[in-house]
Amino acid sequence: MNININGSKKTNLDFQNLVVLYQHYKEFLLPLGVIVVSILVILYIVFPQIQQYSDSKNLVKAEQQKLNTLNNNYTLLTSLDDATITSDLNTLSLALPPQKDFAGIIDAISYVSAKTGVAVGNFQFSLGDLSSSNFGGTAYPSTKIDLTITGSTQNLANFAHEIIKTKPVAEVSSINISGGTGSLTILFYYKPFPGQNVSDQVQIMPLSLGQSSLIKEVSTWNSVEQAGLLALPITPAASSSAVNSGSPF
Amino acid sequence: MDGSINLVSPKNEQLEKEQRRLRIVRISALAIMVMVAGIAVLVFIINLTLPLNAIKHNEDVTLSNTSVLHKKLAEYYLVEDRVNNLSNVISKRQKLPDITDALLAIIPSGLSVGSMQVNSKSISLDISGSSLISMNKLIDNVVTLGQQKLIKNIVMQQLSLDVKSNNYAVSIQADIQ
Repeated sequence: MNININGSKKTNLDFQNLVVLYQHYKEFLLPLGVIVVSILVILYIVFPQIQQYSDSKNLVKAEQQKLNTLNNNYTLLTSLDDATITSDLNTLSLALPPQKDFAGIIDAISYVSAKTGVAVGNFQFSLGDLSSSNFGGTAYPSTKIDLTITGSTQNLANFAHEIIKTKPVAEVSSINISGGTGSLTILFYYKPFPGQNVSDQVQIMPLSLGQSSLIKEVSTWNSVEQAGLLALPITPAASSSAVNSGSPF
Repeated sequence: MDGSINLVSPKNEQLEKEQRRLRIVRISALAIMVMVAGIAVLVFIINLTLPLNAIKHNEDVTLSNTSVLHKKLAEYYLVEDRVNNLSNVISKRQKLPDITDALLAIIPSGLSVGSMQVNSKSISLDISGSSLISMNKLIDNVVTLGQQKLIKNIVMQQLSLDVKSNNYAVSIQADIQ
């Protein structure tokens, strides 16, 4: 192999020549080596450290946020009154029970019928699938009840009005009034509690004004627990349907 | 002495050139080494100054404090869940009792309700009475109810007179808004 050194003469690159080259440039080797090592240090140590700094900074930011969340949660929780939360939960669970609440439904009908002066005749529950895990794909499963009541037109309308302000939460889906007799279809909603995988690290938000006022409103709803159980006035002529034979009262 | 004589041999000049090059390379190497070492140390120190451990410690302390309040936390979550779901149910449920109230409120005295049917889509009302003036007032009121956007497509199915009892009967149907 021929190599041109200094651009003046051609030299055959054999071992002898390499030795000559080494002798000639050996003083350059150390500084060149230092430069190469420095470049390697930059590539393999400094750059990763800078990258790590950037990652660590992001991690610190995330951890700081987590700490803030935890502190906020702790502050909020310590500021809440145990008795109030328990009472709110009880009230709301009566208003929207976690499962089919037949006793609550019967109590509600009983209470409202007594309050509005109507007499309850036949009624018929449509229970649907009794398996608690199957809610027919609806977000808000309900128990449907077809109810016959007797009274004046105004009292029948009052019954429909009062039943939606009574625990458990209900929806009147049809009203037929004819000659002092009314038949109502009422849906009583329920909703299972969510899974109990409560994480301490999820941000807890204080209840909004709307949520707080809803709790206040719901606590004013008719409730047998608050008013004491009233007897259901049943018309002597009324008889239970085939589905629900016999009044539970 | 001849002033044109060059006392510095070309070999020395070449050597000096190489010495200069060597000096430049050495200085460059030293500068790069110092710079790299400086940056590495600086980055290392900056990394050390990040308060990750302190934050983790504070997190642990807060978590242990919060764990005492876990029951309260669970109850609070359930309250939130109930409120949100209840709010959804209330907002989506039909207002049939309100419509029934509104219908009963517009019936003038002297008229009586024969039958009333209200469902999610429509209402049907049969009213009877002896006064045609009251009937007229009822129809006006029903139209007003339509203007209040409570009902729409109001149709008066029939207005009849039973001569024997001298009673007028009107049948009204409408769709719910």
